Amino acid sequence: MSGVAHTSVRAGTGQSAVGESPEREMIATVTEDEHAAALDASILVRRGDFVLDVRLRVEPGEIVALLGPNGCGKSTFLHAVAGLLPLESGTVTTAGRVLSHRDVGREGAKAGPGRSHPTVQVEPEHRGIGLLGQDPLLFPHLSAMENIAFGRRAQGVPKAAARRESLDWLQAVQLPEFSERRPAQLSGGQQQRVAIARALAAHPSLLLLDEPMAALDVQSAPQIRLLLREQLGRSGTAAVLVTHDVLDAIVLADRIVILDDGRIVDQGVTTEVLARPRNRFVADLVGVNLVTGVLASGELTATDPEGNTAMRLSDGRLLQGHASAGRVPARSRTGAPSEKSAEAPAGRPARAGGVVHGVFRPAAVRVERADVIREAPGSASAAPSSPGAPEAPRFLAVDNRWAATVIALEPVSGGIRIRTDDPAGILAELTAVEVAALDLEPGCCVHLSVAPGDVAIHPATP
Amino acid sequence: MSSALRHTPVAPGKIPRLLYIPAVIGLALLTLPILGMFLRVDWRTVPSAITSPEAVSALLLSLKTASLATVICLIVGIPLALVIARSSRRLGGVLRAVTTLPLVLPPLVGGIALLYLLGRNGLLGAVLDAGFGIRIPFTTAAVVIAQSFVALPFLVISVEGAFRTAGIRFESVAATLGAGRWTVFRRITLPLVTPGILAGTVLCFARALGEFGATALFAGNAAGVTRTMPLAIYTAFNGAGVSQDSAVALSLLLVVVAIVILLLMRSWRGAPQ
Repeated sequence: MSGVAHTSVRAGTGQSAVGESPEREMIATVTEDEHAAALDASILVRRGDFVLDVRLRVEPGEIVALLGPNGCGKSTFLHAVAGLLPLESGTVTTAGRVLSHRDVGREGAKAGPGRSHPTVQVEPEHRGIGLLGQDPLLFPHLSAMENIAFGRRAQGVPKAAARRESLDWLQAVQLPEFSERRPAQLSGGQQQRVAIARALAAHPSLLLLDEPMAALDVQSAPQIRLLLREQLGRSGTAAVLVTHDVLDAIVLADRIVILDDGRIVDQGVTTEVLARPRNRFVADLVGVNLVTGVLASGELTATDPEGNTAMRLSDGRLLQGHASAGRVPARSRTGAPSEKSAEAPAGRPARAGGVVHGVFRPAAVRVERADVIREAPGSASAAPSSPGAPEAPRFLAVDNRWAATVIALEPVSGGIRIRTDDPAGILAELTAVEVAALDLEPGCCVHLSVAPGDVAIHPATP
Repeated sequence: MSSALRHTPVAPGKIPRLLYIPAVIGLALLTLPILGMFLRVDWRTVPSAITSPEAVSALLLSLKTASLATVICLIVGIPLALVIARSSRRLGGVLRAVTTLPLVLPPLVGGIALLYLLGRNGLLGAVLDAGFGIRIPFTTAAVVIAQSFVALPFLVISVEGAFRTAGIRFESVAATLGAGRWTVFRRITLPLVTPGILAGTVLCFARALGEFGATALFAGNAAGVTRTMPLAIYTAFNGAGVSQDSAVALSLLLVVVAIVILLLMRSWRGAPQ
């Protein structure tokens, strides 16, 4: 069943992919560009069968979160930007300075005269790009203060000045009394504070954050997250944040980029991307059901946020919902709405037949027993609705109501998630009491329904 | 459950009792000979034996040559260890095997090999002799070269292990902070392997101090020039036969010197922590 659902999601993301045509003539544009981006990367990297093809621009002071499933190419992207991996082709510039460049088909004779530029690959230590990972990696033989001063000393700043700066940084990360401590004498959270100070004290033109909160315990992670937000804001450092944690993205990032299988499949203002999932990854991240289909009739416009509308799923089911095309004010790092994104309409109007996504929370799905006869869990897989069986979708006469068989019950925080054999992979979430009252088990036949008011429909293309 | 198991402290000393027998035999094999020697010492002759001009000159020569050999080993050994540690798996394996060769070679064979390289008719020796009039064999320089030859592997192996354990993660971080290769080497790579370097230095110096076979063949046994402590002991023991007591006394001196150096290194190493 999940296979069916996955295919339909794929079809959706294919159309929603925000792929500018890969124009790789950035050197020319960069030199003319008055307003140079903190990072302008157009990267093609091949590692075995895996291809990373990403173009990403980060404005000065902006924080961009890079999210995606494991193996989507997040780390490869960071390594390519940091100069630890050579590009197959593309360009990496920070603040107008070319750090990596390699023409497409440089070895071939295709590169036209006058259009090809010499290959550039600046060494990592000369890139001015900081890196902060989940492991603080403080130099064990240096004190906290010496660790922070290391970058400035390496840049040739005199010892006394570097010392003064690093004492200021210790103040900023709220560890003023720990300047002489060795890393081994600091807790994990304290070490990460020092690592943040060390990375920012070197004045990087761009900071790469590779899951900086992943190794911290539940107490210190929120503190470090806030500290990072505060210090990035204070120093105005642009950053690319790779994370698995949606909270990191919400708290820290101005913009979200979703990467899947080496390509950007969705991107935009954080709240906008999370509010209107366009692929299974984001839907799982925010914990909602995502179905893909076409608009059944009429027009889905930004000016009609209340309008009721309907979409038809690929299996023929009709889903009633309401248009979700209103404006979502973007919250910038300081908490104030930024005008640029507030004025932008959330989506282009989709016409009848246009690809749309429907989104509703698992908790909004109602579950009723359709049978009283119990089937043994083992026979559930042999039921006529088993995967691959070309069976007609079992939508009932009423819209937004379908028959399904329970496959599994999984505990989630605050309730129990019900996984069914529904072809769109719709999940329901009930409280433990409700599950007990319905006497639900794997193999039960149920009716799932969702109120039109709980279904938000938005265009697949932002 | 697995995490509970992981955190369960393992009680110390839970080894099969049978293993204590070979362990004690091994310990006896290492300590009894030295104990036996101490018991054989004729303490009345010790002061005169170890203050004799021959003994003093041999001891000073030993300390001088072994120190010089250790410095040479440090200068070439640390870079060699770093190259091996950062080489590809295959090349690293080859280099490591080549480096350990003198370790498994009988020192006498090493002496012959050095003679055939640097002797008057040797590969390099003939060139040095004809071109510059330099003759290495049977000089103090030959002693230092022989000692370096046998001691270098000890330094390289322990330092290389330290480099590999330290890894390159800290170096990468230092690079992202803007430090160039020399700065990284000086301020990160070297300090991180200081314990390994100290351990390697102790081993290297001890091996140089005790070197006998290669020295005897390549440098000879000229009093004051190439007669180091081990050679002086051998000469005393083997020579007239009458002075076996002084051989024992000199051995005692060498043991004491070795122990003192070991203790000095220990205290120095313990100091920064």
